[in-house]
Amino acid sequence: MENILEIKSLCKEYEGFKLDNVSFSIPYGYIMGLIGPNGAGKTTIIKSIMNLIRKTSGEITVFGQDHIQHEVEIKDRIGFVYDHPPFYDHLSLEKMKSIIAPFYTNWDEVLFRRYISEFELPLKKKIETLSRGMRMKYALTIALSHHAELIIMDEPTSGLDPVFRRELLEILSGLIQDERKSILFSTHITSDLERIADFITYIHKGKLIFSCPKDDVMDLWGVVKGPNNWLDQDKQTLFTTVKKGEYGFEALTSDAKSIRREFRDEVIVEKATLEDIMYFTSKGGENDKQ
Amino acid sequence: MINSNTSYHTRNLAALLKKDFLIPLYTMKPVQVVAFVLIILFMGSTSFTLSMAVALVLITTGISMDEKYKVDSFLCSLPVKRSTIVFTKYLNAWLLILGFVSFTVISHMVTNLVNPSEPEFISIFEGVLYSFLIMFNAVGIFLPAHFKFIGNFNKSVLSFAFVFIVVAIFVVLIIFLIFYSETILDEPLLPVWCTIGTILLNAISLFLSNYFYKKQELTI
Repeated sequence: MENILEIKSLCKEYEGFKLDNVSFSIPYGYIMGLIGPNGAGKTTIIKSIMNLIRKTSGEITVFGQDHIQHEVEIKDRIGFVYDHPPFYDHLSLEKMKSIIAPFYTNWDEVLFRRYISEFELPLKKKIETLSRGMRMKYALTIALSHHAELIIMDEPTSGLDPVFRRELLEILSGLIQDERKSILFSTHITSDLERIADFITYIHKGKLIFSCPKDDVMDLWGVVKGPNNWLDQDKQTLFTTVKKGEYGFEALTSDAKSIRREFRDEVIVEKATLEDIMYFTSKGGENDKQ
Repeated sequence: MINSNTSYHTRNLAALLKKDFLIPLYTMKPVQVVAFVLIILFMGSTSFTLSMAVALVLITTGISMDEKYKVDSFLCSLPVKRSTIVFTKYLNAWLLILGFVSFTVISHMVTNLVNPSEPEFISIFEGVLYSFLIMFNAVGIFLPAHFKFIGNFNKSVLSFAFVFIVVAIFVVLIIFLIFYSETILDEPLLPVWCTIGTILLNAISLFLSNYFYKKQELTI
């Protein structure tokens, strides 16, 4: 499978934070969800791809080209949406568009007008008067109006109402019908990804926990529940994280199939949601192997 | 590849120049723009100082709008090189100063035709040249500081800093002239040396700004 984005051994160090040897890739035509709790390193990865911050080491290639050597050509083909899109707020939407459009080779005015009308955005109003949702819709309109092949979005759904969140997810699903387009979408609202993502990359405390097809995540990871006395020293090693309570334990495993096969009659094995995985790994536990 | 890079560069330079020129204008009301133009047109020789002040307002307003709305991370996400963003900031400032000087000189010549009691342009040429060079030097000192400390100042501090630099250069020159007026003013090539010095300062300044901006981590 040909990749639209490849990240190899990406490292970035700040004071008090380290993005440690992160590698993953997105094939053409798919949606990748980048998940992790706040401060996990999602924005650092995205800003490194966009060369807004300088990576300490590692390789990033987009459309098969180095992201720094071919920065301008690459960004011409990327649609980028920030969590808090920074615009000149004193300008109207129309004037801001007239500032941005000349930078893109494939700017499509008809497409821009179509999204403006679809999202019911007031072109003559100043950006500072827009609500968070409308601002995000405007950022999305800009990102989609130059036929970008890779859409990168940093927390686009946070703070949005459920109606627009659903609408946004439908738009994104529609976009990848063109099999040359891909989307990288960071979020901590995991239910959004369960709806549309093909691949999931999970980052925790700057480290890659996994990057694989979403269906594999659902098949492999599980939440195991049982009595505390079942959990001896040997069995604890089977789990990524264990939480003991008064009435029993809950544990996260990345090998749900084996546990189900071997201990079917002794414990309950449930499918782990993305939220379960995030919750267990970020809260840690008695047997936290992260 | 060279052709495609050149076309990207030219297009981005034009797009950035358009942005840098329009952003401060969009903060003004149309009546303010008309008032500036009329004052410059009808104030004769004194309009030169005013036109420099307007150029200064436009330069600082453009930069302080970038700071106010923290747009650098947005600009750098566009298909444009950081070095082009830096160069355009200089080019915009140079063109604004040059534009206002040219505009004032022309309006002065026209006024002179209508009202011959106004001093001829040649008699104020040196004054015009030195004020012009002071503005260029102020740009050369201010911009590297701006690119080094992006995101750390609010817009009023930025505008104040620029005005302070212009005034400081004036004060230093006056002090210098008080002590060395005889030797300096007799030097026939003084305007040439000052011009060469200004060009050198701006070249070093551009290099430093590029260096600082390239190293900026745009985390906001």
